[in-house]
Amino acid sequence: MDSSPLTLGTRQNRTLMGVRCEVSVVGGNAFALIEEGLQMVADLERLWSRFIPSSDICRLNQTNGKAVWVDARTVVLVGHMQAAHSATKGAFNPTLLPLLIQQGDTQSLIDDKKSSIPETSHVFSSLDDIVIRADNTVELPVGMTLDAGGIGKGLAADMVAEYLLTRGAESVCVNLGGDIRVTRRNNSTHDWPIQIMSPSQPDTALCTISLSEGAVATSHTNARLRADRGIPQHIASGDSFAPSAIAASVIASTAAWAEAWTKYAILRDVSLIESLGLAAMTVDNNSKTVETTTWKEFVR
Amino acid sequence: MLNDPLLPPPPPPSSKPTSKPTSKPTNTKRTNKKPATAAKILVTGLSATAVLGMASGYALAGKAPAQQVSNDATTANGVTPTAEQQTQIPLPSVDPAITPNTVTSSNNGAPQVTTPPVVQVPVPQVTPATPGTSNSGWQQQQSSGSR
Repeated sequence: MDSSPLTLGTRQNRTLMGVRCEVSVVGGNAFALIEEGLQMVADLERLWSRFIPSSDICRLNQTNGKAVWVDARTVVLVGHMQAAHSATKGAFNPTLLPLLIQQGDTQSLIDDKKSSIPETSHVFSSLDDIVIRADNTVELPVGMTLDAGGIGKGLAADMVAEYLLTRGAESVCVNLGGDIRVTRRNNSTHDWPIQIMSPSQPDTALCTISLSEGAVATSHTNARLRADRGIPQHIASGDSFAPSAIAASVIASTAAWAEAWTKYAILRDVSLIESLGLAAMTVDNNSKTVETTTWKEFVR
Repeated sequence: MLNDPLLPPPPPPSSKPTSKPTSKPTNTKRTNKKPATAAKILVTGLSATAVLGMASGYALAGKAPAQQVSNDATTANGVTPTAEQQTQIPLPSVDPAITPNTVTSSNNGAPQVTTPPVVQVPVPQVTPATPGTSNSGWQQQQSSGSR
């Protein structure tokens, strides 16, 4: 008797890293794997939050140029920051925390934790002077602070999805506040439909894409309604470029890369992104969308 | 047959005649003195041996050739040391109070503090994703700007 394979899967969500974190697993011991995945995100939050004084990021931000021993996963994060900053020609910049705090973005959006940095902190246009040593010590230049922000969520989604695949899952989707990473075994046919939501009408989907392997990230300038708190803009710019769009979605191999390229799409355009073979869509103030030709390959 | 109920009970122990009641204290004193003296000699000997052994051990350890000592902080959080960590380059510019430097002892006994080399973190290149075919179902997700 010929029958199609039964696809069993489950999902759970929890508020982590300040956003809704949803882990979905097909195959394997799904419930146990999901719990492992959520726990892993919680661990990464303790390492990378700018609101937890004992986190690696807070310790780095407070040392003012001295070397700090950090977790190996934080070393990977800093390495991704450097690579993304270089590839996006500075459009992705993790040193903008002083600007965000100056604009009043000091308090966590989910509790009363506050973020503080040395008064001498300022924006940097280069990450080349960050020193990472083989014993997992990191030295930031004097006055530099890092904000894991979106790339931290993207990298967390990547790490959890890849880990759960090694733990026996057939297909995994990790969604961290809109930064989504999906992955599957080579012999799996499972894929994941994803709605891209409108920046101006949060309950309306602009389109639905489908991914079997890879990631999509969406950023917009007023994420999580910071404007209601008097914070003019969520995505700060360290240069003189005015944002060309209010929101951007990028589809790439990993969520960390997709997240970094959304900043480029918002602050510049999608031409460089398209030249890399990636897919992107931007939305401007008038709800006008611009898509790369590759974007259409994913729309269903 | 000692417990045969038909037999008369045995006489109480007190009824037995005692012999040489006056010589017992003298004998006890003599037999107790000898083991105590032997024990004292034994303990003294063992203590002296232990002290001499420890002194010799410390003396030999001080003359032992230099060996690399791994810093405990390197594995404090379960991080596996990398291959690059074995490479030693002199660069004492980092505050040793913060940086978990590798400590080595040279052959002349003087400790040297060295700093592990700078590394480039490998980051996978970005490549295009693979499209799927489904457009609905329980697994549908939503991508928005950080909600």
